[in-house]
Amino acid sequence: MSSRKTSVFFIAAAGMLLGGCNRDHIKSYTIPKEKTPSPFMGQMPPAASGGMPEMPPGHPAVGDSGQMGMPGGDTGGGSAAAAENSLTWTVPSNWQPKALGTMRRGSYSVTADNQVGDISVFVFPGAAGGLVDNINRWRGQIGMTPLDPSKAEAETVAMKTTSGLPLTFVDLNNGSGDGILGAILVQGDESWFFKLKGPSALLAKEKSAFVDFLKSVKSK
Amino acid sequence: MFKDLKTLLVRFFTSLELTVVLLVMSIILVFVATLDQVNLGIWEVQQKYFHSFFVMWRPAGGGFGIPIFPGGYLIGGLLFVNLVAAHVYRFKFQWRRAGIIIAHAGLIVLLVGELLTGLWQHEYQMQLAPGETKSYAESFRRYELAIIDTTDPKVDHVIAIPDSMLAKDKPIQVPSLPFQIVPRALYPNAVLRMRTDADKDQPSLATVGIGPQVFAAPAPVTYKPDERNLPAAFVELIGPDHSLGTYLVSPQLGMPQQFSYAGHDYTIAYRIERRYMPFSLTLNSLHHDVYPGSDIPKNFSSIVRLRSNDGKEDRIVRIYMNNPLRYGGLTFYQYQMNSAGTGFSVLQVVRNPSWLMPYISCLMLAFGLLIHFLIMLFGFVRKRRPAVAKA
Repeated sequence: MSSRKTSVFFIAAAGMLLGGCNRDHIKSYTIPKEKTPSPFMGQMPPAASGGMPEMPPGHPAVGDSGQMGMPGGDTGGGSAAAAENSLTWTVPSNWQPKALGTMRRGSYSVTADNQVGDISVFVFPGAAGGLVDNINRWRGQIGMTPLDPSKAEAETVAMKTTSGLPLTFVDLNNGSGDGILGAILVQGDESWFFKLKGPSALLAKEKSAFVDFLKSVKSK
Repeated sequence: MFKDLKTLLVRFFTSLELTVVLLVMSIILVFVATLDQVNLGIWEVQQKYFHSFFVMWRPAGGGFGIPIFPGGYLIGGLLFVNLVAAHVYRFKFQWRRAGIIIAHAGLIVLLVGELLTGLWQHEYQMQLAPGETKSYAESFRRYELAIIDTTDPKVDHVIAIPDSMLAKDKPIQVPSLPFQIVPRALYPNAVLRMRTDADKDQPSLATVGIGPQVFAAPAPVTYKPDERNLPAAFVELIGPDHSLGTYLVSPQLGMPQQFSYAGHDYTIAYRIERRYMPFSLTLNSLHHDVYPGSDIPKNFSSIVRLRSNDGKEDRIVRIYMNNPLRYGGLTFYQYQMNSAGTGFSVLQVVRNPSWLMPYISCLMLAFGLLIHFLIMLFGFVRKRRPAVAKA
């Protein structure tokens, strides 16, 4: 190979390699204003203990709402939420499945009289902060003050699923139109959280369906 | 002396022994990489074994790597040099070898194509709900720190910093920003939860925004193909005369954090890397067809409206399995779909400027072998004729 040919070859090779380095550069561009703040919405586990700190104005409740950009779909492929569930349940026919976030094991919405309720199922390892802290966390999500452990426990109702799994059920109403129906199920070394959050009027209508949903929960 | 060295190098790079050794090494590489997929998953294995010059072994706790085996780029690169050098120094052009030369050229195109694909191919995804319009796709695995100047009422000026730069632990200066970005900590995978009284003895690095109220802890990096790392980072913004504070940023936070400085409004967010395009796609409808009387999927298709920013293109396209949309140097494949409720469709977006090279290579290989076969056939027939005539 002549030296000229050799240098042309090496310049071309260096050009190709430099072309491949583009991906690690700072990008700068101008786009029209976007309506939504961001399509990537995260999920955070509940606090280990204590109540819900104040959020900046307009910030979505942390550990509560939204979806991650990694979808779970009919056609397979990657999904962080596609982890194997150790529990199964039957969903009422009027609930619409929603995209799972990275943390949700079940995600549905229910609509009645133009009101929308959000149903979520989460699982966390261990006690995930315990019963009282999690009830107070839910209370914080609808603007209610935390309760002492004895009072918080008094608000709960112990129930069992049809298959005999013990559940702790709670019906929270903040008195200004919003509420949460929630249930915590400790199964082995996992804590499962089932929650229906929405306007109190909708919750009153959907309570029996939610209880049926809870009763349908069973081990795989 | 120089001549001796040159002869030695030429002999080494043109030797058939080198070809054999490299082929054996590539067999070993593919075998070991296939086994290691159990631990690392396909994406990480590709990076570690094939898209690298050396396979590195990183001792636990050590920040350095020790090369233990040549990687895909080195073996492929040497094979390429070997093949080219052999042609330049050994083969003399003869018409009867034309087929072999074309076939070898096809092999060179294949090797170069694989290198270019490794260097240039980018894969993204685009999730669309019916009626939704997007002019950007999102990376499968990469994240970026986006600092957006939102002062202008009509447009946003975006500065997107790749996460690899955050990992370097060096101050980042962007000419259009009046402050430096100083990475303080980066967790490639993290668990975030609300901070409580119990966390008081572990104060947050964050001083402003939502960060001081959130507890962020590093989590083991996942290599599973169906899981995704959710990183978190602490970045300090430092102006010419004072620090603007340290922010905790993570895709797990629900929305970008806002701040104002030097008369400009900004948002800061650590988000999935985006690639904006000079056109937009709107999902008109999605279809999940099943075989009659069963739940067995027959076809997944998305009807999208393609509109270019310059207004020249505005058409309806049907994207379905094995029938992607190719536009603007990108290919949109039907990737995932959730047809429950209103549903959503996910398109895989691939940019690969060298996608034609394997096809060209295969054609050259087939053509070269065909020519070689014909030349041999005619030679054989010609040799046979005089023999038959003599008989």
